Amino acid sequence: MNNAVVFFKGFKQGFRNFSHLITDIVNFVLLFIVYFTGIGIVSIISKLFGKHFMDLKSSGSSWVVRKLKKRPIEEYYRLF
Amino acid sequence: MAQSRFYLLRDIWSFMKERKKWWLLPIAIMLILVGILIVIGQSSSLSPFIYALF
Amino acid sequence: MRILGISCYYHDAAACLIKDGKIVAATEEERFTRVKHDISFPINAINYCLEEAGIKGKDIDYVGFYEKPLLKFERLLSQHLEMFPKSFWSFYKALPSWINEKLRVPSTIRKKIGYKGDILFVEHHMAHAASSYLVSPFKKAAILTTDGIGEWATTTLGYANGNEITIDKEIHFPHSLGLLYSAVTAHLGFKVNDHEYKVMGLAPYGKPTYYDKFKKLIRINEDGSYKLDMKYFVYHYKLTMPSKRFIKEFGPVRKREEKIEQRHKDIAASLQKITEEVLFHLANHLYKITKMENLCLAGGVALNSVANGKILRNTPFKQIYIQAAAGDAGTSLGVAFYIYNTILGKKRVYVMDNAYHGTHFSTNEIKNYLDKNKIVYLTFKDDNQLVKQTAKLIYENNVIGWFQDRMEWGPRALGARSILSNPTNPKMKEILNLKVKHREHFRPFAPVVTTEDTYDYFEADKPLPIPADFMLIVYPIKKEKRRLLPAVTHVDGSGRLQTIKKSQNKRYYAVIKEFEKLSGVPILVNTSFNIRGEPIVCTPEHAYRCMMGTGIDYLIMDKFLIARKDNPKDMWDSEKTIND
Repeated sequence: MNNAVVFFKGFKQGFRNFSHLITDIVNFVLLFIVYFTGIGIVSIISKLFGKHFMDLKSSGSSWVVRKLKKRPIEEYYRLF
Repeated sequence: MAQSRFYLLRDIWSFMKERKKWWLLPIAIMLILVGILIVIGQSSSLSPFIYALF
Repeated sequence: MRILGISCYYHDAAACLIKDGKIVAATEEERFTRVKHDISFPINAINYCLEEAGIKGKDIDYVGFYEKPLLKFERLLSQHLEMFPKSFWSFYKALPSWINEKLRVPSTIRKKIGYKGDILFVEHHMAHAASSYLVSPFKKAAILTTDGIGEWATTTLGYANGNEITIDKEIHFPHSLGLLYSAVTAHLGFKVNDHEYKVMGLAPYGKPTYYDKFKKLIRINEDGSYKLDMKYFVYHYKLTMPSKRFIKEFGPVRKREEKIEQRHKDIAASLQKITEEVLFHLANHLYKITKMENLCLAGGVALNSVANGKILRNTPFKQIYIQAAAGDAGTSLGVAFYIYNTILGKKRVYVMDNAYHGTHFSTNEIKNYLDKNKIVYLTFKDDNQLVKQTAKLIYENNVIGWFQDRMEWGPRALGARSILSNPTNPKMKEILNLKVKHREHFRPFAPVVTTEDTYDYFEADKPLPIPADFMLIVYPIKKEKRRLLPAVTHVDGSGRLQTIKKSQNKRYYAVIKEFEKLSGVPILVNTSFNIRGEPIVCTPEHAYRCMMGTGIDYLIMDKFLIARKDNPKDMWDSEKTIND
């Protein structure tokens, strides 16, 4: 009986490890696809048109003027 | 209620429209599809590395 | 009206509950989970806040979150679009948590705390600005926020009048003073977002011989702004921070177990010098555009207490305020007050002049804990005996664990969860390190001094800024007094002091004054009550466990005295299990 319990505990742990491995592999594959298609295509096309998404190289002031004040309360319900 | 069902999709759409960030559209579509798959797959959040800033 | 503010998912998750514009409770999640800088959804902190208020989640009127997730996500995607294809691993590590947690904040909050309403999202640096200004004594002030990164902003200049806060302009990622400091922290072999204060403590041991090299990687503009040369950094697309070019310039990255050499100390000194220069430049520019006398600081860089101690001397500002939890934990407080005072337009009725907003335990609860665990203890018959006996034990060079009343809010121990000892003993630093803290040799211990005696011992600003009450300012110790305070005088003669008034903490104040009768000095060593690598203790159990796992001699918990030597059955060695 004891041997059976030990076996099932080990089997359960092993299966859990296996499912984590599968999850990791699936995540990797999915995110690989998203990165190289979703991000990659947009990035390549943007670079062809000279668009940049981050200010890495420009000289001059770094200030971005905001004048951010209180907004109507409905705007705070948004995630942006 | 402002954050009823599908608030995320609604806000993503509003964000793209208002800020004219249409470049987000292909990524958003892909992420939503993948997101559904990942959430269904119940993957756990990865612990941040010491340099995780994101 | 009850408003709950929440910050989480990056570092220092925390919650703050306010009622009718005053703090009911504020606390960090790490204190409950025992995971330093815990980032997870702060359910324990929230539950404590609700319990303190005697309410449930459904009774909250408004819940605020400390950033705009979609703006942050847009910035993240922008990084990857710009740096494609170099940033894949960074993308792979980051995305799942966005999909699982960070974009689902409203549903998470509703599910976990039973709140039925909508959540208000406030921009990160606005939450920082509010966390300082709205609990300051100022009716109007200039506001400077600097941290690693929020959504896009890393540094903002703003001003406030009455309840209204305006962020005038900002500097965007990847140009970040906070990330510069973190990159060097990493290069020096310390933990990012955890050990920046160690680099600050190392700086006085070095000379700023790398200053010219730092000038190559950060350009300070005439208009007050600054820009990093991103060829020296890789944090915008990798999981590490300094680039190969940085390493070529500053030498190899120090491994954690490697000895700290003069080169490392000089780099730390140079970094501190350039950081101060940038901060003063920003503050001077802010003064030029606002012409306001009062300055509020917030953001992780506002925890640089060495720089804070020099701001008033290097700028035209007359007064300064920094809230106790100036980093990300404080944004939970900021968002709650921003909702109440700014969005809803309610009158400001609160000034934070003490940081005791966390958990507390009644005399009965503590007694029950001691009795249940068969801990040997004595009971003081009254406060007078407690104070006299504690001061005497400290004077006799014992190390005292001090656990009283409400736990501190923010990263510093301020006389509620503190380790106290004798600052006049030249061997005390060694004793503390050997017995309890096991710190790097270069790290100083900090003094607590009664407010009225501060100017006798420190070259402090006049009037004394409130942030000194929160241990957020370093001042030089007067030359003639340094020999009296060997345990708390840093190598450059400075001390990161806590000032304390009787009205803020009667018992703590009384112990210091009693110690003064014995030693002639109204100052104690005050260091945080925790096992190395763990957060500050929260409960009586944590406190007792900490004493028994280290060399703390006595624990004074409420009106009970517990001696380590009286409880040999519970002794253990915390050094064997450290994860620091």
